[in-house]
Amino acid sequence: MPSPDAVVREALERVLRDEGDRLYGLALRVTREPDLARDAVQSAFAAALAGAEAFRGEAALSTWLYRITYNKAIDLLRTRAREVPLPEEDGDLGPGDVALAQAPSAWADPGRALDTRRLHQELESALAELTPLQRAVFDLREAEGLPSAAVAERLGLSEGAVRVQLHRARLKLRARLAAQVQGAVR
Amino acid sequence: MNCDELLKRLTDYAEHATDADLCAAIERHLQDCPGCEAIRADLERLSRFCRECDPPRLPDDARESIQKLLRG
Repeated sequence: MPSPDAVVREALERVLRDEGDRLYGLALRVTREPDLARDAVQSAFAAALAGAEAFRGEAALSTWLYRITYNKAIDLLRTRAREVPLPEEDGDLGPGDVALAQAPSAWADPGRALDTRRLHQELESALAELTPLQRAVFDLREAEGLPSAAVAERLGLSEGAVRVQLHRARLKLRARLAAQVQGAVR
Repeated sequence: MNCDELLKRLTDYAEHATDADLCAAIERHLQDCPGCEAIRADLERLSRFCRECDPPRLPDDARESIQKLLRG
């Protein structure tokens, strides 16, 4: 019979195989720096191995790895002082969010639209203006397509908090892309 | 429901997190308000667009280093 330690190591290898790219994607979205993202994922697996008795079951293990990876990414941002995480915007949606929605559309006039490649570049640049938490929520919901309940579980948030962060992220990105389209065709 | 109220709830609506009454009110507003409907459609386009992006891959050397750690 395999030892508990061997079982944990095998379970973590399966998480690495099945979720490694997504964990890296999350860390990259949060840090926007490949070296930091790689460090965050490596540190997350090391921490999971060291604290393996803290979880039960493989589903919880992979969920737990997301949370550790997010926390490691934030820690790395702080310790390397590349970016001081912006204060997270908590609470209900307010007039500022509504005002943001009044921006013109990046897609309204196909004749003025940027090509897809350029729009992808602009999206990456616009993502830099979100808070790290908004980028994490946006990555898991929009790029990975996870349901908001699964995003909440992975980041340790309520579903309502995920939707607030997601809404702000979507409105900010939409407004920023619209501004880029306007600027590009001027 | 006015436009400001609707704009705060668009993600709740898109995420199916509104009750039946609120959902019906939002849909009535969207049918009657081209401006809000355009914003809703834009956010949907943004979501679709993001899913077309190529997902990043964990670099091979990082994967190998983690495997080495896990295999002790």
